[in-house]
Amino acid sequence: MTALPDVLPDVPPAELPARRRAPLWRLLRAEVRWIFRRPRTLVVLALLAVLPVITGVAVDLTLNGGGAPVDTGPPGAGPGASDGGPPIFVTMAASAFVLPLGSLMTLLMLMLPLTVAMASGDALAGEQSHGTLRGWLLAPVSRGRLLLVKSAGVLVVALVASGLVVASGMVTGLVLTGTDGLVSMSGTELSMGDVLWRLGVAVAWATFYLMAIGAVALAISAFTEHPMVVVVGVLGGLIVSVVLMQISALDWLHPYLLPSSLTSMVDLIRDPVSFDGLAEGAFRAGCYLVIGMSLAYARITTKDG
Amino acid sequence: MTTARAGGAVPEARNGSGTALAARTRGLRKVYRGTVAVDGVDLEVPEGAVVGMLGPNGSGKTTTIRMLLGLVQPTEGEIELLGVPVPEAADRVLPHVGALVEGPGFHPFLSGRENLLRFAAAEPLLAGGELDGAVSAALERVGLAGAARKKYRAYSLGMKQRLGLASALLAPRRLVVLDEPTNGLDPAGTQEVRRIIAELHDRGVTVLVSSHLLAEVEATCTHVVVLNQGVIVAQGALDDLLESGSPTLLVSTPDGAAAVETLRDHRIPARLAPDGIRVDITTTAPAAVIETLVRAGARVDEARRERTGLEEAFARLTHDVGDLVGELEAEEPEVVR
Amino acid sequence: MGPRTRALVAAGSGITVGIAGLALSSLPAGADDDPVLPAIGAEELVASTLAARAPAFAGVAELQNELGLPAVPGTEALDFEKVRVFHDGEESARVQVERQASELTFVKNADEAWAYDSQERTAKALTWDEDDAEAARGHAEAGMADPSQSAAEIIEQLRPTSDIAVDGTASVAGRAAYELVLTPKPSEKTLLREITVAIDEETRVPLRFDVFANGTSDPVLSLGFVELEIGAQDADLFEFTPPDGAKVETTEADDAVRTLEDTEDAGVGQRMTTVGTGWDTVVVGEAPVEGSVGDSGGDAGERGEDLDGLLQQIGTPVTGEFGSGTYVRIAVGGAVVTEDGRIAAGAVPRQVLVDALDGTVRQ
Repeated sequence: MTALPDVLPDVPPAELPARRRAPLWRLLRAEVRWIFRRPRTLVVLALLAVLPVITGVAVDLTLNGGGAPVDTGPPGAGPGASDGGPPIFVTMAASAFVLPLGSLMTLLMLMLPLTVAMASGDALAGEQSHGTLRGWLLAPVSRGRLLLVKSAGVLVVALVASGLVVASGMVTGLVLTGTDGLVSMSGTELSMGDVLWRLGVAVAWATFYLMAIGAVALAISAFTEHPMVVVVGVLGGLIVSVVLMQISALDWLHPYLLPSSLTSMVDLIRDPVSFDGLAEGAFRAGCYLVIGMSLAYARITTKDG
Repeated sequence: MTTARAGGAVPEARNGSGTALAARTRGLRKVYRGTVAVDGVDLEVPEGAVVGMLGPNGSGKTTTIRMLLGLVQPTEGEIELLGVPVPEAADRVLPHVGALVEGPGFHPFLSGRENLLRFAAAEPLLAGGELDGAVSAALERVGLAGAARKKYRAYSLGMKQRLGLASALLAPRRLVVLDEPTNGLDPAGTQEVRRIIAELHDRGVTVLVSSHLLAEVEATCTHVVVLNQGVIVAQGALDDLLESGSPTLLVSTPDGAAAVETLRDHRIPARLAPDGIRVDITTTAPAAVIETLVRAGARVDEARRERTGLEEAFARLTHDVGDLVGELEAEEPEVVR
Repeated sequence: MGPRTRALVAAGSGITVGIAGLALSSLPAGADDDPVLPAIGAEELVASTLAARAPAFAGVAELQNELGLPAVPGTEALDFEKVRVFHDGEESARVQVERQASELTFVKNADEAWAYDSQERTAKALTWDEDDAEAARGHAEAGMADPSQSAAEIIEQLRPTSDIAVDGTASVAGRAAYELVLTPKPSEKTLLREITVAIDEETRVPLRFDVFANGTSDPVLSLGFVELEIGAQDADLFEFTPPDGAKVETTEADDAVRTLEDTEDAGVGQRMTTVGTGWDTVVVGEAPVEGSVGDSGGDAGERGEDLDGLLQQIGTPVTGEFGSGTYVRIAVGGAVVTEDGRIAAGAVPRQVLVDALDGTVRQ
């Protein structure tokens, strides 16, 4: 460290120039870069990409009796083998249509929400505990913009995670069964274009659903310094919701529970697609999103940095 | 205790009154769940000064700094930073303020350079194309250019502190606020921080630096604010502070005991010192003291006004001297670590 | 108002809006006020309903079943909540019975009918000759030749045992409808309170069917549209091509009729008698035994054993002149299964069942 007089910045003029802010895209880029440099994020995403492959191979092996080219197996092994596993997989095999949707639905129960909760936990609580949130607040980034950027980061994680599950499931399905079995639950054969738009809707819907969880997670995240509290909070909330959904005496409560929308994803496999359930689920998710974001905003604007 | 000043680069301190202020607070108060952290603080940071904020841990230094920067909402009081009210207009002023608060905060899985790039992205004064250059310059300035691509996780305590300093200097600043900047630095690192502060000062940048180390403040600052238990106990130019307090006349005399007795007879407070006596001259003129002693037949070899060390001034200003000294000694080893 | 206060107010309103939205979505649909419609007599309503041709529409119907049916194996037919119905206004229709993770799809068009079960991956087709279809159409039209006449006959048949009236209006699936109410006369010994049919004012399509039992305010059985859109439907909906890999069974209409007749000869139909008339009609017959029900063959015996065990669990013992048996009650009625394998069932109290059995013994 030799003397470096020339790198010292010049003192700006005494008058403060007009208000200036760092452009939003720069913050977003920095946030996304940070998210995808985090080893934990990458490990979870890799796991999410692998799970549909494992499911697909397992279902394919079960249905095809080990995939032996010569039919030497005991008679009746075929139908008997189809007893286990979720019905949706068994009925329609590891096709490039059902495998991605089935994987997405299964993972939406727990894995994907936890992924989003983890991202939300890191976004505020994690940054707070590292003392890094201060860096941006001092730059300064206003607290509203900070929440906006953080939410956008969570949104990207939700989108990438659901997209990855569907893409991985689809590729696995194509490798295992080719373009066979692109059949709706109503017995109609679907074109590749049909399948693609349905999968697109599934990813968009899943992202929105996950974002609702992300908003609530961000609210928790704004109240704590421990990212684990966020993950445990979301996990607890999901478990409680699912338990309440099993109690039919509480069915007046069910419309308030976020996971009660999940089953409507099955409607994307029906033909024609019925959007009622999905729309209702999206509306419910929207309510959660607004509540979560409002809570997070209230907390983040009043908390000490 | 060294009183050497950094290479004589620090010019004569200007008096706070009548000078433009880079930061000013009025009646600043912060209460955390019933505990008063800061109370009635009227802080004045003159433009272009290097102000040392001195106080033991828990004296309210960090809380004051966090309120100054708009991170914490004051319970009561007003803050003005570079002429604009904070936190109301914090977004206007903060681009011109660099800060290192409560130790460096970085992500362990990113390299030093990536960490800085992340913060640079949020700097309003840096244009998109300037980010890389600004980060490189800041790393260079704190001597981390060589370790820029190393993960933050692998940094030593000193390197972490330097990276924090670099983040405060990413953009051109008018005010730089450093909370305990030499914490964890080895002596060479401490010297470099001092040199950077001096360079900033030379360029007219106002610096507010907090420390619980007297030597640090004496070595780098033009002004001092002393905080204790959330209250300002003294503030002003360093030289004024060094000479203020109860003035003492140091008199060399062979018969100290007799001289003390003589002065006490004349209601002049005095006490024995190793090679003579110390006389409090708050109420008595030095000439009168000498006259009294000579009349009583005491031999006066030498008499001079004592210029107090800051430590003594500091100890005198904060009420519980014992606590403070104990605190300072306890903290000392950390500096060398 | 400072920026912090503004932020908190904004956040507070957001939370309120979100919770209000959730509450809104949890409200039952169809809470609209009853529409005001021109008055109409029961006879006229029935006549116009019989005369009306269903228009092309797409709808969603829901079944609410509070019958309290015991979970008898083999009654999955009622194991659904939602049915989607498409109609082209002519003779093609598509019905999709949605289950949790599977679907039963029925497609009928001018010359064939398909039933596809996604769980079993089976597609059953029924085809018929153009002649047969023509004849069937003619027969149906002849029967309905004069709707007002048919309506009068129907009402005439019901009148001795029931009061039939138009009782106000209702909003069903967002459409204005008349409520046709059938109430048993006080002399009828039934557990039913009333049956209502909501009939669309504009198209005269029955929109909802509710069964009320004594002592309950909510229907014990309700099947009705929750959504209905009148309008032309995509012709593709009424075509069905079995997908690759599905098991396909095709039956000719003639064969099907013959099979049905065979079943009736050998089966339940022949051995059933009714006792009483109107609402307190009791059906008395042989209890289903091995091999006599349906075509499932192999597991029928198993089912019979299950049934015995189940009856013991859910029923109460009953005795009378007929001997002894087990009484099972559901919301709208009950059944007595005797030890010698006979059964009496109806929407009536227990004593009426017992009397019916006793009566058949005396004969």
